[in-house]
Amino acid sequence: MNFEGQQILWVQTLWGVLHLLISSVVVMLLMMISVAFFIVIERKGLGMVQLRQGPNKVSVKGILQAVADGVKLFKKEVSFPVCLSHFTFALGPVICFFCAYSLYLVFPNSFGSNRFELGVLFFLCISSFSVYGVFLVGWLCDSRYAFLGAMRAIAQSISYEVFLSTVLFTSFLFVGSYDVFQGRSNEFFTSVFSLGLLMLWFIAALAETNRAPFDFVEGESELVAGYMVEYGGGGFALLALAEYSNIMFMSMMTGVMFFNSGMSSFLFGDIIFSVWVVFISYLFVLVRGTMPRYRYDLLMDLCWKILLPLSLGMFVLGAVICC
Amino acid sequence: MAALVRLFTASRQAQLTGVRTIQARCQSSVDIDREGCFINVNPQKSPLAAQDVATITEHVPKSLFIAELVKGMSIVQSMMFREQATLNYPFEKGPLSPRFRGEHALRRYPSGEERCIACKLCEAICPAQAITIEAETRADGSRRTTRYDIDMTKCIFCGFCQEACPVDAIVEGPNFEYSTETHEELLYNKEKLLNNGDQWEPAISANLQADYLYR
Amino acid sequence: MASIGCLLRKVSSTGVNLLRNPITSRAVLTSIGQCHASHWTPDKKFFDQRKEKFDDPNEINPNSITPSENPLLISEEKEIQNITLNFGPQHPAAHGVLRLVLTLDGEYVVRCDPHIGLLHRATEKLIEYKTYTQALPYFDRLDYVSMMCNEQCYSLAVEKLLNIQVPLRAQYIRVMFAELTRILNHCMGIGTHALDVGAMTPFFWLFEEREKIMEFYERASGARMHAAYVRPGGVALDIPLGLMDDIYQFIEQFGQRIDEVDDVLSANRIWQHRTIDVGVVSAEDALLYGFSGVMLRGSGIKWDLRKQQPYDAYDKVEFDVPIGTKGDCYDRYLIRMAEMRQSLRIIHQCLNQMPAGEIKTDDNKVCPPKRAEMKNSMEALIHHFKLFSEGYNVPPGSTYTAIEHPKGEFGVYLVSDGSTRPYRLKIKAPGFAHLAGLDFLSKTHMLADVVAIIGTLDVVFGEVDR
Repeated sequence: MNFEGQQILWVQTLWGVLHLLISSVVVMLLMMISVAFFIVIERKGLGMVQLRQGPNKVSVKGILQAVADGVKLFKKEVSFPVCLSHFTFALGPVICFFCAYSLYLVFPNSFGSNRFELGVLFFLCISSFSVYGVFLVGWLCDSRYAFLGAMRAIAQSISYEVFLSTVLFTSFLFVGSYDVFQGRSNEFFTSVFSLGLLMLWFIAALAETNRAPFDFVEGESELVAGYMVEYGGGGFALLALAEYSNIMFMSMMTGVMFFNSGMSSFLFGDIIFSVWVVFISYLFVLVRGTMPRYRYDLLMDLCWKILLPLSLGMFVLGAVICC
Repeated sequence: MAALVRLFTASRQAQLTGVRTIQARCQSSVDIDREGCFINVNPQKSPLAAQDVATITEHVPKSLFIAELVKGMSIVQSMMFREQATLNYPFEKGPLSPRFRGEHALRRYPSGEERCIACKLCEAICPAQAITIEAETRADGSRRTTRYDIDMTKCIFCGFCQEACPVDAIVEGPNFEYSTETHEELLYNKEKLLNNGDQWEPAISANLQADYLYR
Repeated sequence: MASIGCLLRKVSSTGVNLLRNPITSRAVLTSIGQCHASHWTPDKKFFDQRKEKFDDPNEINPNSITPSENPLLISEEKEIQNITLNFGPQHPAAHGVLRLVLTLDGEYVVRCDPHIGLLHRATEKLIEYKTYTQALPYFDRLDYVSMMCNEQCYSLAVEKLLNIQVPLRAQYIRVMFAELTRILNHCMGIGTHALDVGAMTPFFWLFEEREKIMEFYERASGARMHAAYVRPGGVALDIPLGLMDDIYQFIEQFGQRIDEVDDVLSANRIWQHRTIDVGVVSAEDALLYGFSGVMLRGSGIKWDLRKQQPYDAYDKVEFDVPIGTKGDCYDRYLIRMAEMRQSLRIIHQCLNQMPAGEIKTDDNKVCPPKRAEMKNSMEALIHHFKLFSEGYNVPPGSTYTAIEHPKGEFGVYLVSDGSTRPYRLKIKAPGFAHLAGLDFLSKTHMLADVVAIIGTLDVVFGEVDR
């Protein structure tokens, strides 16, 4: 290789790194903004179905409420428990947030900064790893409530991981690749089969994101605030961001897997895609407004005795259909 | 917008069907299980009843496609189109009846003379012992209070003082917005109470007038 | 088999050792105790000291014979201690100031020890120093979600000792408001129960309805909660014109509100999973523990004081009493829902049958005269003064008067020595007995069920602690 070729390689590498950095920052910013608006949608939607107004003071009709909250939280004093390693204490939320953020690397938009060939596997890896963050947070809080919450989180994540990945693989059987973006152009998802699969997937998504009716981890009326009781200010903000961005991501995966008529078109597809994402994340809100909380042992029963056999059956059926 | 309206009507209909089934369910259970004047709310079905093919064919798809959860969600969603209960408080306020027992006030006669004659009935009846009265005879021979204190932090707003007062001097007015930042500000003396009376007199007399028939 | 067990134990003990991070868990508090300063915050020096002390936590000295330095000496058979969880008094599901000391095995409740007394105000003793009129407002503050029922019980007790008859209109007003109060109480009971179990939306809907009922309270008595409306001898004031129309409109639409909650909760499988077979009270247990009200009827015992010994106008209205079969949380929830419907029936009948007439006894030795009369008649004025200063004398004797309070049997044991003040007044609060049963109800259930059971007990600390 001559000198010029080397130089071009250099420039290419540099450009690649720069591109990655810039796009990562942009994705992070967009993620935060979308989370902020999703929080407002949730609070507003819950407020309206509960015959109250929800946030309505900050800016116009409370649209910027979450932004204001975020600014407030990050401005607050960071307090550490006595005699606790500050580094570990701060590490928990950072792991949580980083996991949630890195999921967005497989963000299936048509201008994606990077295309993962094995996006689905990456998603599974990251979502399995994120439980470490939750566990660390729960453990470091050194409170029994938080510890119970963390224990629940681990059990729940591990059991539902199996179920979730089965459902995920079933639907991606029809795509024939692990690329999330390719899922957008798939057209099988209009049958009764996919409806059943959608229901299973939605349940899995609810459990995976620790949302009502499976929100044991922070079950307000049982474990007070669950695993994050000791975190305030920035730590809490990171945890909340992680939680909500997980929900957004799950809605995105749902959109990719089940609601993709017309999404394969270039720019218009992105718009349809975002409409679906908003719709599905609103479903999360509605479920939270309606459902009572499940109980922890019932959840395990549900997973291992009902949902997992069902999803395995679905997988076999899907494989047969594909062949 | 049209879609919204359609969604709304659909959810309302779903709700109405729900209402009907509920009523039907209540009705049937009342008929079957009425024992004297006691109704059994949750009669235990015999296991044989569940074996019926019709019930099974009806039950299984419903339970597979989480029908009742979807119905619940549609009802919750339909609530979004109902009027909100929130009052924008400092600008909107709820209704108050003429009988409302709020902040205390000492009233005056139209001549400007204070009504209270220091009979101390209110002091005697007050269950929380929040009222302290001292009295002296004035130069003109009339008996008036020299001190009339109400500890608003002790007061339980039972309204016995205004019931006891034979001259309608101490009343509990319609004001409920008198929060303070310190405890001391809530230890009302005679001056403060008379001020209240002057300030709220139109409302208080209107309320007394409105409630005249019942008292 | 034994070897597998041994292996497992070894693995777990290593795991425990790994988890036992001294920085987080080893008694930090002991050294805080050594710092006797009144205002002390840990400074750098303190942390440095600690660092030295616990620098290498896993240091093993094989020659040492103290187990703390040489973990090899610790036998592998270890006592596993249950978690003790302090539930409340600031817990959101503690319904006020309940403090539970829970002993948990994992998440299963081994022991559940309610600690009460955080809202104790010595009501019973205070009442001994008040006249009969002055004692009345204390009853509003006992069970502060069903105010008028408490007042009604007290008034009935005093009336029994005084041996007076209340005018019919007053009886109907009392029954009407008692049933409104029942709705008020059950709205809150079901709403918070659902909230504890995790369904937060019905709570808001029901509280909106409560708001309307409190408006009726306010129009009748002048206060939204602490009414002081039902008095010995009748009620304080006649209900204002137009109130009955509005109550009619309210009960017209309230059935639909119950239906909505019914639709969201009753058939919901999650709700059923969470409540069916949770906190089962057998009929025997219910009787042994002295349960009453919904807790008793949930187990299928046909007992309702409104039917068994009707007071006020309850013998003149028609209604059914819902009972359950299993005695679990779901039955009790259904009973509460059905009781609200029955209350609507009773209110409807009260509105239709409401007679004209007086609202308190015309005995001016007990009830103060009307204000117009008091201002014109000397005799009435004297009565007024006597009643508001000294109060009225109640003949010597004692009575236990109980009513069917929304929560159960609310009783007042009143001893009079003939003076104007009660000699002794004992309040029988239903919530107290129910709370006593919490231990056996929640045993072998999970932490989340304890919350559901507390919700279904419907305890209010005003009456439990008194």
